[in-house]
Amino acid sequence: MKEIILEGKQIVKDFALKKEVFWEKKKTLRAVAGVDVQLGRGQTIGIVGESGSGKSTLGEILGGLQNPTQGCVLYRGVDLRQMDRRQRRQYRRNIQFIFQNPKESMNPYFTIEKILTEPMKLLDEQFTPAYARQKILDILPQVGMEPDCIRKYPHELSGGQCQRIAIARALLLNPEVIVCDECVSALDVSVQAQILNLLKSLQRRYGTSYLFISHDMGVIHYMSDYVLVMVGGQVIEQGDGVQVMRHPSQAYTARLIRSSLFAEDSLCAAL
Amino acid sequence: MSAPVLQLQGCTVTDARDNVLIHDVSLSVGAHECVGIIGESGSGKTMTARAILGLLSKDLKLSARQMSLCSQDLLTMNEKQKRAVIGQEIGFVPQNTVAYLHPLIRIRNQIADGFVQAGRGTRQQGQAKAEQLLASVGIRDPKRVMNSYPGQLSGGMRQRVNIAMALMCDPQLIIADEPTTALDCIVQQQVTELFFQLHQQRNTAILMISHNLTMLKKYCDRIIVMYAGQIVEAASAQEIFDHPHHPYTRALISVIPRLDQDPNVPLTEIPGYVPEKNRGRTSCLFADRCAHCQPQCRQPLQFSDALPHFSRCILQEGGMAG
Repeated sequence: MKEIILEGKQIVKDFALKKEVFWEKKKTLRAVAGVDVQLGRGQTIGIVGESGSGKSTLGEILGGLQNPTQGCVLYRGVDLRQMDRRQRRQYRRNIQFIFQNPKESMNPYFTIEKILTEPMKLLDEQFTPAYARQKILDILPQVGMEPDCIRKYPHELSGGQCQRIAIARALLLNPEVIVCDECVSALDVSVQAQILNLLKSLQRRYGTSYLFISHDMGVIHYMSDYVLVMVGGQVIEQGDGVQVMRHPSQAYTARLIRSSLFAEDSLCAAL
Repeated sequence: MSAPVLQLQGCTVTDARDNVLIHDVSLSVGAHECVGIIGESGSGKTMTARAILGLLSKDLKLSARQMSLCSQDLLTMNEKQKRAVIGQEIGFVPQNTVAYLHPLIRIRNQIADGFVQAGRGTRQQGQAKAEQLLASVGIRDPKRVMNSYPGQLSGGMRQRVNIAMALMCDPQLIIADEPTTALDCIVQQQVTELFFQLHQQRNTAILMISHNLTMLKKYCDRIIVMYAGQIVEAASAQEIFDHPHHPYTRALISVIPRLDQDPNVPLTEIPGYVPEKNRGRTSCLFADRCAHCQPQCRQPLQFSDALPHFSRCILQEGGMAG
């Protein structure tokens, strides 16, 4: 078994709903209902589900952006809540996010250089301006960007280019885990192919683990070693990527596969 | 075959600085026909739809050799006549379900606007009709939806409201601009199925803009592939899939991750970006990204659009073997 980097144990997340009248009992929505995940080094876990199935919430909890109501998240065997400052910093540095909409996750008033420098300033111990500049110039060609884009602002770049910058930002800290929350769904198919290939080649090079959240079964199939299918906060099916896609055991999974591909008919006949 | 519902010849849109945004787009949609336009973002497919609808922003210049809707020439009309014809004969379903409905007005009070405006009846009649239409687009409780604000409805519901709204004047043609991209996959499938059900029942012609090639293949009669503001290939759906001529079309088909593909083999990429500048030239716009590019491709090229299978490429199918 591979070394486990990130682990979620029986994660539950409740959100308080607005009361319609004040004497009503407190209403809650259970977004994630008891999910176990184990993410090993260099592994990709794909999470699929419809919108509202709790897949993004799960990703955010594992990435430390939200606290679970019950259950715990372990990073290298240490519970997030029991971490001291130093460990916490280590954890923050090693978990990075790529969000669905790259432009909204960047400050429009910052140049690309500033956007890329900011996380290093906060989390990288070796930070000096020269060091940061050097690292940025090293990383840009890897994500397929020209070095002269660092003087530009996010609005001057296209969606695909912005997503590359978001990937570069995630990679600059050499994280162990990247949470990709629908990171290609807003992109064109040709750009999507470029980004997916890029993520895969970076994984081979650096051994990064991905938590890959998407509703596109084709993308999940291409990226994931292990797949979780979520409905209403629960994992209804999990297993090896190819296995789940080719021979889903649940009717819901089969339906998801059918609808997301718009049916390459030969495949659907088998489901 | 009856006269086409929409006929567009040589439509070109340029911006204030004379950059060409779409160049020489010609297309026609026959009665009861379902035509799909596919392309990446920036390929000009939405621009084409907006040009047809007369929704281009004021600083853009439109020129066309012919533009007619239900045998009425749109080019010679003034704004007001144009609005009346387009408003009645075309239903538009937008991509962004939020932006198209007024957030502070109940559905009941906005859904019949077009209907009343077109002089089809009173507001009451409009609302009664809207209720029926909402039921026919698969909304179980039309009364509740009619009394809701757009923000209280889910994306799928809002899109159904938009579709119902597009059908209010019994249009000859529905233009749908990526109607399902903002929805998640199961709702996406439902809405698409609904669309084509309506197409069957009402015999409305549909011009569907999408970047989901598999979806278009399943539902459309003909597919038009756009790239950098030009039509690069146009043929029947089956023909496009079985015998794509243009390298761009082939690339588009092959970049989609498929379930029957080995995850260890990298996806095919289309290198580079869609050209933004100099789109008006007559040499091949795809040449810089094309694997089959030849010196000839950099020269001005001429293509005849009379063939049933149009392709803006010097390589026809026989020549693509290499």
